[in-house]
Amino acid sequence: MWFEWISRPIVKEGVTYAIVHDITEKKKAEEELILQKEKAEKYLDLAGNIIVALNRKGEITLLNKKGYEILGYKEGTLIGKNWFDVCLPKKMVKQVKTVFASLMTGKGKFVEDYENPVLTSGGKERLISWHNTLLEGVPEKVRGVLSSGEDITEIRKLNEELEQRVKKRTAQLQKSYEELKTLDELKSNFLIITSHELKTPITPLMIQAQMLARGDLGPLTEKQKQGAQIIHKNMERLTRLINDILDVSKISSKVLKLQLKKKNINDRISEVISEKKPQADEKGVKINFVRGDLPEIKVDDFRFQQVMVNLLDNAVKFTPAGGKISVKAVGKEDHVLVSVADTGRGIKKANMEKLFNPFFQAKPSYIEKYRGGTGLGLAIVRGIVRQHGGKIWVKSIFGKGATFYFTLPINPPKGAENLNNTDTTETKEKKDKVQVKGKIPIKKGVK
Amino acid sequence: MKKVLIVDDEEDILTSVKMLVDDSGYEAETVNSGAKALKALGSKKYDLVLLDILMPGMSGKEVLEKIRADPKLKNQKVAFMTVVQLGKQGEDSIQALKPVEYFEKPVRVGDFRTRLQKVLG
Ligand SMILES: Nc1ncnc2c1ncn2[C@@H]1O[C@H](COP(=O)(O)OP(=O)(O)OP(=O)(O)O)[C@@H](O)[C@H]1O
Ligand SMILES: [Mg+2]
Repeated sequence: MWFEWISRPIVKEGVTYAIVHDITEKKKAEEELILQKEKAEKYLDLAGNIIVALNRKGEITLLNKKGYEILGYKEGTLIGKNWFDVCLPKKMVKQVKTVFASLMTGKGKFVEDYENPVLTSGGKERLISWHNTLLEGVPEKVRGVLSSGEDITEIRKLNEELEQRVKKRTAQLQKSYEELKTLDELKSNFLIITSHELKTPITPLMIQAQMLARGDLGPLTEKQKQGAQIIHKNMERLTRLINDILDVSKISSKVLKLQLKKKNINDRISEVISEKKPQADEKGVKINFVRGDLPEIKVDDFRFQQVMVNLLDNAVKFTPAGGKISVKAVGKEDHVLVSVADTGRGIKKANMEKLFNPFFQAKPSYIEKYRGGTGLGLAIVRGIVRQHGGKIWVKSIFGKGATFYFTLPINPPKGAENLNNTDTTETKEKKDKVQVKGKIPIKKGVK
Repeated sequence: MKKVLIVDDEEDILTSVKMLVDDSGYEAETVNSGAKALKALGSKKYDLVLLDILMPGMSGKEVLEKIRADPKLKNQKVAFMTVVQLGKQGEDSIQALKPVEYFEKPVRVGDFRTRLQKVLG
């Protein structure tokens, strides 16, 4: 129990009167208040942020533990000091003071959140993110300001580093992307330019060699004629090689294009066979063709011819004298099946898949001589068949002969014609930009 | 004698193709650009134009487009001579311009002669 005593001696009466108040309640309230204040201060000290209160003059009336810690002063030493003079970097004191003064007179716009650096006792700056509230007595008489501030120096630094890193990485990615893009363009331009640049010098060479060999340019001696014929023969070989290499490149860069037209392929097969006949006759190999009851299919005539020429070429090449080649075309529900069977040397099981890879040639056995060729034929054949949406495979008993099968669907899949169609519409603009010999802008064309 | 105008930007091709055409019994003239071809066609009659496609300045396709757009020339016989393997057909956009032939460079002399004769009659 708490009592408050007020006593006064009354001399006349020889007594002392006393008034006693029971102030237990009041005392309790006071204690409670102190307790609350200590508690509040503890809370403030526990806070991870700076908490600072300034009066109207900008003097510090409260600063928590974290505040002292960040600013680098001993606890309690900053009370009553001017916040701006002590805790702000010199260069900004004047400006911030002006803003603060106008705030305290009720003028000026109050900003709740901003970032500002503080100056530590060690002279270092730390970036603080502030959140502010005005301490108001009567509305027009602001008593000061209470702020909490988070030290964002490290985070900011980290962020900036991160941003820097992201920026750098983005730039790197952008660069690789550009490089890849030019590489793609280069690839397709390379094919266009290579094909033009290789075939251009060969054109007059071929004409001259052939005219010479034929005697079109005047009579030649036997030796001169032989020389001209050798030149011509090898020009043909070079031309075929160039075409094959370009085709394989087109297939592997996925820029092979098809010109699809509805067609019954029986006639075309017959035509290719009669073209191959002299070569087969010379070797003593018979070719027969079983025409099928075929539906019309959408096919690239030129490329189909190339498939047949290559398969027959191989069949003749790998079949010895006395052998037989049988070509068959069969109509199926949604495709045609063509087979070219020979009675030649056949193919070892291990080689059956590899045959279709560019440059693959099964090693000729010791009896057989090296037969020339580059091993590109079947790679091109497979590329063309696949581009049509068809399949190709081989069956063979080694030593007894081989049969090549391929299918061509009546309707090639969507995109067979256009998706990889870079020679026509898609690359026309690209081609306009292509420079041949660095001077010739290629205009809209099909080359 | 039937007249043939050969258009190509490569001098050696011009010379060689001219030799071949002359030797086949025709009279060949040469120009090395599309613009010169149009000029020549404006002043003289040719039975056939052998037109390269990929040329600096005006491409062969553009030259043929101009020819087809000109009322005086629109029935001119024109054959393309180019390095792309397109078979006998050529592309749709090229076909629309109605070339009478499509020669693939490098040409084979025998085959070229036969087809040239067919075109010129
Ligand atoms: N009908 C066949 N019989 C036996 N082996 C074959 C037959 N067809 C192909 N091959 C084997 O497959 C290999 C690859 O054939 P491909 O047509 O790709 O190349 P190539 O004929 O050797 O050369 P290229 O066709 O480029 O002139 C041949 O070298 C041969 O070993
Ligand atoms: Mg082959």
